[in-house]
Amino acid sequence: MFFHQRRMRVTSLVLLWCLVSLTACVAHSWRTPAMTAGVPQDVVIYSGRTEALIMPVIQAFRNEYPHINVILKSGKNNELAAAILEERAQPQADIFLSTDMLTHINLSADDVFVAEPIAGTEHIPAHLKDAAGRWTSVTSRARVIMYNTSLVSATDAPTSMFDLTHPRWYGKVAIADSSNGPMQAQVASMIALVGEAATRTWLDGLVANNATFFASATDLRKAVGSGEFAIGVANHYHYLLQQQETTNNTVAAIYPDQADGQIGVMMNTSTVARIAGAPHPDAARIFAEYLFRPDIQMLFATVNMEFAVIPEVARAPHSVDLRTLRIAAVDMQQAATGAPQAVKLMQSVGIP
Amino acid sequence: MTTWYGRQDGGRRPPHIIWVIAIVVALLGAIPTGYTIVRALEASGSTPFPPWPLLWTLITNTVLLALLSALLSGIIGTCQALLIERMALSGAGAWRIVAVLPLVMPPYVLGICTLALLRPRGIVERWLVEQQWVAYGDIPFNALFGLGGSSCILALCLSPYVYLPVSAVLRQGSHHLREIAQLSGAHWFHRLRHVTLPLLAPAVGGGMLLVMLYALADFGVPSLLRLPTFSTAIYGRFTGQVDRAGAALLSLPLIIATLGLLVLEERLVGRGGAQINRSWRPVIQQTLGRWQIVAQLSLAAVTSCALVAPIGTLLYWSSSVPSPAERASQIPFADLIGTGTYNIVFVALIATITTMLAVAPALLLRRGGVFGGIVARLSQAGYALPGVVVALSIILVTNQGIPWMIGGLLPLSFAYIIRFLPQAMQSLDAAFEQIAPTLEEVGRSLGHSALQVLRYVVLPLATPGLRASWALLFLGMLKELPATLLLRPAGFDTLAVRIWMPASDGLYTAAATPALLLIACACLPVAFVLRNHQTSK
Repeated sequence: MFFHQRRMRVTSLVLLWCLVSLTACVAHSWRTPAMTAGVPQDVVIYSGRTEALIMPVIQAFRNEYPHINVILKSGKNNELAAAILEERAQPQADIFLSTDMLTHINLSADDVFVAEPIAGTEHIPAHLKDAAGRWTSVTSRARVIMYNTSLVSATDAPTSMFDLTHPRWYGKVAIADSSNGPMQAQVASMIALVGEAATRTWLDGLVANNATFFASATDLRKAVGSGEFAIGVANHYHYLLQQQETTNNTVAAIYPDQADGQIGVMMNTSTVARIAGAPHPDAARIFAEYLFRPDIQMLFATVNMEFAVIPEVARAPHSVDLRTLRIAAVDMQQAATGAPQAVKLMQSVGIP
Repeated sequence: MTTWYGRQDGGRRPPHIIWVIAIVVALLGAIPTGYTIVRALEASGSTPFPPWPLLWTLITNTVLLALLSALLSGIIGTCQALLIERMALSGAGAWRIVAVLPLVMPPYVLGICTLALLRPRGIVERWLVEQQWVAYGDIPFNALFGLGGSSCILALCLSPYVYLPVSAVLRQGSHHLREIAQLSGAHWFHRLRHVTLPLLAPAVGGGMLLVMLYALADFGVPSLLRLPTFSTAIYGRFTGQVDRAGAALLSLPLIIATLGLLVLEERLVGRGGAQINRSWRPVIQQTLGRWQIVAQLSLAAVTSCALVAPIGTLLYWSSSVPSPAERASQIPFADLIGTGTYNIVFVALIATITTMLAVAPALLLRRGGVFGGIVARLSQAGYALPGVVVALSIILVTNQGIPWMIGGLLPLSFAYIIRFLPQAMQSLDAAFEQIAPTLEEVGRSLGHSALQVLRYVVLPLATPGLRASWALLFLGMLKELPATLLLRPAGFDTLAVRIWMPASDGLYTAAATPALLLIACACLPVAFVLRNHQTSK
């Protein structure tokens, strides 16, 4: 009998503990939102950006708005886009930040974003924002060919994206895989610029040239810096950030395809939108406006070395003057329509 | 007399409530996998299947990774067990503990440390160059990437899965055969080849199969070492496109391969006959003589690769000054402690629920007749399915059927349960198996109901098994990475996610503190496994 009672006690203790833990879990995930300013509230951000590249801005925001609790969920653009679509009945996120505008353009068609321009974005050029205000680019970036200067001399470095399929670069090229937002944007832009057949030939050439496909561009820049790869394709700030490292910093970059008749350097943007029906619209508005404040735009330009989208913000030191570059003329709407096709094209030639 | 739904005679037939629970659990385990297969078949028309060269690469990489890791860990684990249990090794007591300790080391953490130490221009090469012993590029550090590096890392972390069963057999096994062989003047190699190894074969094989299933499903190590496998490719498709169909399609071959291995396991486990030995006595250990130093050194080499070097690296990093990018991707220590605590509570809770849920199907596995066997097998459908595939199937099902579940912690909880339920069932089955049938029959013949017998006889006797199962689940869930990455709601982080986020960007030092915390947390259940193992005779 004693044994029996002891077992019962243990069982009920275990059950009680489960109940308490369960309550704690539920309480944790369903914190009640408070809407008044100054009162503690959350803002939930789905971000496709590398955490190291968005945390400086979030840290600055936290210091300035200590009562707003920033909850960051990092992932890949399309993974988060799929989540936003799936959560449409009960939106979980307030803000969606991605590493290319195509994801945002495509999601706009599904009416998941607040259609109202963010205050402070009036002077941003029209091609960097949605006319209805559903999405706005935060920073602009150029797609460059970075190279390790101890392996490749400046005169030997490839000057065109199309040079990368040349046999002399066999096994030496690092490039992003099909899940990477800027890479998807690049391939979609190439389809718009030179057509699907030529793009497929180029992708086939990369695979045949034994290029290595990276999931993370930060990892890629480190691999080029360490000399594991002579050449890497990435957004321009990656080579600038690698130059700032204390070791393995012998890298430079070419802004490719600048000659007459070539396509020009391809651009992509990091983009923000507010989710319609989101749980914390006030905090979301504050955070979205914060991104376009001139000092924060300057932060993006100096810490991340991206190009600010607000024309008033001065060009960061180190970065090139965009006006001196031949920029690829891509109709973004057209490229966005082709973005899913770009992913499938990469997968069908065998890019992971 | 055995009927289709259970044994009528002995009173070992589980009570009705167990049947009801087991059927519910079986549905829980089987529906997501089944639905993924259906979706994959649907998608096969509209989504591009990878071209043959890529598919072939994925198949060979995945299969070779599984085979090589199993082979290497088989060698490591068996040698460790033979040295520790059969030889007069000094410090055997300490080595017994050390051989199990790699369980605390998640393979992706070992991968991160190995990368930082051994990648080109990594810590080791830079140091060698500073000493002016070599120039950059003299040693092909690039060879670390790919199959060789991945399988070494997995084998080092997973060798306890071989060591544990093999050393258990060595400790409880009959030694008469060996002694007879020795008396007949057989050479040591002859004895090893014809007596010891055949006796060990089922344990070694079972352990290697576990390693193989783990390697087949592993996501962290191959993606760190740039080895395209099915797991990494499915993850890529999952995160790379809005449409889920591509990922579902790609997981089809992996599901098939896993089912194949399961059938194999079933066969192999069935073969291992229990050695009932009434005259047990400790084995006479063989003296090592001048080989003592070789044995000590080789054991030390394995330990330093699997534990000392990585933990040393992590400690060094956590005390060093991070670069700006690394600082940006770190979270404050206080937040990390909060994450860790919440992580432990959550994992402990889910491990408890999973162990409780596993009781019913584990009982039916041997006591439920043919129908019970089928029900139990169904709940094992999630067995060894990679976390990526489990996550995918959960998302597919919640989107179709239960949209209110989206966004909270429930999908992640279900993923953990489905992924680890079969593991719990295996431990529990082993525990229930050891209970003498007569005890239950006596209980029934004294007029108690099946439920009472279960409560007052079977469960108390199986308590050590329940505890051991809980400890293993806790450990597995704590280290779980891909399903957590894909299913975590905003604001819910685990230590594993905090390690992975910076590490996947190559910012290894930022991963050091969470990795050390994770290892510290993992010590607790491992101590438990160890105690269980020591007392098992």
